[in-house]
Amino acid sequence: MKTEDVIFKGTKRGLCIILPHDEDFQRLKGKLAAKLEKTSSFFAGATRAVLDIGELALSDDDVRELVSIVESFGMSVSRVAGGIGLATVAEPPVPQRAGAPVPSKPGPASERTHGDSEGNGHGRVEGEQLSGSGAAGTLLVRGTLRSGQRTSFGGNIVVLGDVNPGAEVVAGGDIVVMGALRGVAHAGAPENKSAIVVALRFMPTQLRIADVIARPPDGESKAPRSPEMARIRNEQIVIEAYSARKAEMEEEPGWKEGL
Amino acid sequence: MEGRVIVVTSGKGGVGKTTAVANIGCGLASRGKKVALVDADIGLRNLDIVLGLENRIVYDIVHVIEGKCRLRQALIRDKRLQTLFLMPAAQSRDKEAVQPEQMRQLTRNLAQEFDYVVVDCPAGIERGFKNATAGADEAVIVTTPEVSAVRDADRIVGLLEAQGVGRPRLVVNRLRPEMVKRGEMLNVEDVIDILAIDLLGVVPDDESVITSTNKGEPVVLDGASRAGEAFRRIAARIDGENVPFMSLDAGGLWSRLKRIIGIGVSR
Repeated sequence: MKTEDVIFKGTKRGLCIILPHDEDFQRLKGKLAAKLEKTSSFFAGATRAVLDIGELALSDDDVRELVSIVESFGMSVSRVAGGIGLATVAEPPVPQRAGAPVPSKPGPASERTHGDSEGNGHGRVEGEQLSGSGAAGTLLVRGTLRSGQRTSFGGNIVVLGDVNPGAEVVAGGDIVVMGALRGVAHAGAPENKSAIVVALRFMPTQLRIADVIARPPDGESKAPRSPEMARIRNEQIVIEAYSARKAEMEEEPGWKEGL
Repeated sequence: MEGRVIVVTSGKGGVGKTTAVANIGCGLASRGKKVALVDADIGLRNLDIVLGLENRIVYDIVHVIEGKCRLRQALIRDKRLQTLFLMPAAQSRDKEAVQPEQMRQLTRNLAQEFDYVVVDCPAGIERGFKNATAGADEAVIVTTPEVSAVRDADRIVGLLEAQGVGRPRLVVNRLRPEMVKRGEMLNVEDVIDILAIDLLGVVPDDESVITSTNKGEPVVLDGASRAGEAFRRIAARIDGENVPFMSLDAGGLWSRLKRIIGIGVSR
């Protein structure tokens, strides 16, 4: 979404500050400060604001500067986002927009940031091919992945659409499909066993987490009625009804095998 | 002794190549032969679905050719027949991912271990066709009794001759005896007259093929299906047995009877 002016948006999760697509950084800073000036009395004290820099290619320093402007008005920024409407996926999939740089923590690709309910918003998303190098971030895929399309990403992948049979999603972290998962999903590639796969309609052709592979039993299976989730337990992929609480649990005894 | 590499091809799409490969493969394996089916339709793979093996694919033919896995790792054993194996195509790649010479090598390697290597050729005469036919000893041409399909089959026979692939044999698929009788469909003799190759078999049009394809259970395993019977005979002929062609009139009598007593016959 490209805008002319700075837009403030109230969301359930808090304030979202959307910056205009302005290549001139000085002018951009001016616009942000002016908007904050006008509204500071109303929004002051807002915590956990999200700063959305859209498609702007900004350096880490630039972003820090923007964040400090916001903070100088008594707000705190919890997250810098690359905005909505991330990637349209082709072959090979290249995310078209970069998330914003906030120094990202080293650690496994799927390391989740507790306290930030949107999770994993940190780190610049470079559409690099899966390297297993612990790249963090989330790739948002808008639209349905069709047969023969393959999306791979070192961090998490969220698909706003279906994953059809013959399509493949490979993530270093978690995979969330806001639609029907009918194709192949590989979360936690190559060896992150704590990764999960969530789908609103969970009926994959095949499921892989880290190096564990599972497929549905032969024969007709009926379509699930509610969201389901898969993860590794005792070296096996188990599928259960999705619940936010369960998805949040990072580890359970016995999960650390192979580490 | 090295096994035989047989490519199943047609030129035209949708005439039943993949169905024929699945059924010939199952037919040969039911006879106790070791069979490897190779899906050469990279980017538009179907053979795995027709065999009901889609959810078992981990590695595919492109992985093998690119050296990312061993030949054995990509071979999927059929869930019904112990001696039948599938080498699936890649879906997220295209025909250019493979060179004809690599395919020749791959099918030759498979022929070391299997009695039969049956290659499912993609439609068309471009790279995919050249890949699929590269290592073939012999060819099965599938056509339907339609002028357009026969025309394409004729083109294919010419290309195969030029490539030195020996002994093309013909499968006429989806024949409808009643239509032939009414003179509304090419008959088998017409087709052979044009193509001038040996007839391997005639498969009657049969709705059970569609249901079996959707279920991933080749019709050749269905003892009651007439198309299945035709494919059993085709497999036997490939295996060197001399079996008579089946009479395609049996169904005709039944439908005539039904017509007489007034049950609707849709065909």
